[in-house]
Amino acid sequence: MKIQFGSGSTTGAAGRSAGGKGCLTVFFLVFLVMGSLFAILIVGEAVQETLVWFWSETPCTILSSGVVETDTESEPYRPEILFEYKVDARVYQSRRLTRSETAGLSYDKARRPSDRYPPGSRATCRVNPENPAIAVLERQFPWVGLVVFFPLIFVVIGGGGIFFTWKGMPGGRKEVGEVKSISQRARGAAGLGKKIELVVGLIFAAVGGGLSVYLLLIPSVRLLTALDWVEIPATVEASTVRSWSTDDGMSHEADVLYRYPAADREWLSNRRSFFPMSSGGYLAARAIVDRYPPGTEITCFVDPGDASRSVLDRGFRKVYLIGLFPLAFLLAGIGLTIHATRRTPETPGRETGIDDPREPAAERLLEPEAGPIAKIVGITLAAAIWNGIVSIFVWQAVQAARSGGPEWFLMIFLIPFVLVGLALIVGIFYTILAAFNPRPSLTISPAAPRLGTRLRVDWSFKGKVSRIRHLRIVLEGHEKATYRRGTDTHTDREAFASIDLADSSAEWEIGRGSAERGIPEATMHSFSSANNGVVWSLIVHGDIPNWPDVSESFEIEIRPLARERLLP
Amino acid sequence: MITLRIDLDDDRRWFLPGDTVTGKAVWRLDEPADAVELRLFWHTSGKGTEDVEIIDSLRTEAHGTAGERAFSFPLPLDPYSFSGSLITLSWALELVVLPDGQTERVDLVVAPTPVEVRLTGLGREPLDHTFSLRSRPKTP
Repeated sequence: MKIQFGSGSTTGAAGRSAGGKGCLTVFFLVFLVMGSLFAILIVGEAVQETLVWFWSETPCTILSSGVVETDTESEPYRPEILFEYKVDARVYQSRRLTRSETAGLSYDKARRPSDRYPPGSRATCRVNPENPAIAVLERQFPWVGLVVFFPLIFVVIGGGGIFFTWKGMPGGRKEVGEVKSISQRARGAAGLGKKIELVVGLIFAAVGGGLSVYLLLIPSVRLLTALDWVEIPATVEASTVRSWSTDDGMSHEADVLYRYPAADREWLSNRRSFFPMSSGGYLAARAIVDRYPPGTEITCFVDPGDASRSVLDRGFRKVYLIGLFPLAFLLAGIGLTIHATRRTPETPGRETGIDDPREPAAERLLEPEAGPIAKIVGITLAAAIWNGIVSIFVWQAVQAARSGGPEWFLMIFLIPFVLVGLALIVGIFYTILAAFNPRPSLTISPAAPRLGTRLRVDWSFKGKVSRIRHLRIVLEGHEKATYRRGTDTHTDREAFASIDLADSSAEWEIGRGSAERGIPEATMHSFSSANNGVVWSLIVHGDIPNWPDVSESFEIEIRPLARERLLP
Repeated sequence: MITLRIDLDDDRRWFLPGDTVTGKAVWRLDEPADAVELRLFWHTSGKGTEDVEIIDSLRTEAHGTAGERAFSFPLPLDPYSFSGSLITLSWALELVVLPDGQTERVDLVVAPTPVEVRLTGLGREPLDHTFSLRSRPKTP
């Protein structure tokens, strides 16, 4: 179909060549196929795990139980429970605790099943009805199924990419020479953008929330409960550095296995602290291992209510601060979700040309855009989050330097981040000092002036106004444009008007006064839409020698020209 | 070959806020469509994410392949057409064939002056300076 009119842009699917479409299709097909394969594997695993719940329950006898050491460095300990059961008069033996492998770095986790199933005890196992030789002692909830959302993202990207490559983006068919509809986007793109923001927000909140629980909440609770644990002597049984390769290179973990007596028996454990992540680089792990050679007499802390639970170090260490990192993701996710579910405010009180239902009050007392407490809380939070995250890497750099292998690139890379962190800390003190400044109070009349009319401003101060040496009040107009870059949202501001209302160094005039000015006709009224705006503000600036200056901003509404002023 | 056309009375493109936009929408299609819709709207462009707001629309069920319809849209008093360093706000009329989305567009200026309001440096004027429009627009 050929369109006769228009000079619009030739964008969209139809504007691409067949070769371009082919390349894009292959590109997205890789996402689709790989995502689908992983999704199928994960769903299959979840189904298999679910089927165990329907296997037949059969009595069994525990023949032996304990912990075996595997050959895998990343999963050195595995529980091994040998049990015997009978099906149709035939005796079977199995070593499976659960359907999937349960080995790991934690000796304690591997030991707990043998505590539950001591040799000679009776238990109930679950037997695969299709193959009685397969039986497990415990069934697991198919948590693995939740991981399917990860490959599904790739499926959606791949499938959606192919669909839009051939079908075209929402907003109408686009052909060579055709005008691309803008108004269509008012109905499609806004909704689509909100949905994408909601999905991204929920993913961030879910991932950030999950990691916060794992890295911050659980370790914090354990640190607190361990304050009541009792200190008892222990002996180091074995001590070694576990090393294995990952996608990001080699990982290293200090494995210190210690023995302690409690509740009339001997226990083995390798829990050094409550933080569930690796201790860092090889040198750090080596240093720990060197501190605990086999045979060393040490002390550990044991839960008096459950002697199987112990820890070598119950003190707070800097590594726990890593738990603050996912908190930033959680907050960002919650923020995005709230923003996406909030209704877009309509442009306030759009006036029709026929009548003007809004006649605002004669005058209005203005409130600052942010109070002193809000400013202090805001900058303190920003400094805490920023420095909390940066300190993790600084700590790593310091540890590496102490171990004799300084990471120069990391140290140089961190310099600007540390400087920003220091500036934020200085900012906290600056904001606290500024909170003791005299606070301006402004009243404007009329409450919402029109372009081309006069604006009167009355001001006064609370506090020791004599400290202010010079006062300036300015009516400022600026553009405000919000846009996204990647997952970040930025807002740019550009001032286009700066009109002096008051400029005085006279003490009697600074404390209380008034000014009146005409607002230009040939400019823009206040305007606000979802991502763009024209904002008018009264800026109050008071110079205080050797102290943070008074600096407050008060947003006001300037309405368009009255209809009668437009008529000839 | 299809034809879409928006004929504005007196071929006007500049309107005062509060004026009424009048004219005629004409369409000739190759094949019947569900409807044709005439939309009066403004949209932003520039650095910020685009905002679009439809102020009024006129939907016509397209029983045949050709037709025309007169329209009359009253304009609100705001927002003005304006252009600044970061944002440009433009008014337009679009005639859209549904559901395919073929479109004809006519750009309008809705402002007190025949050109969009330019956001350029205002300020540091003497305290008794007053602003005024150089010429009053004539409304038909």
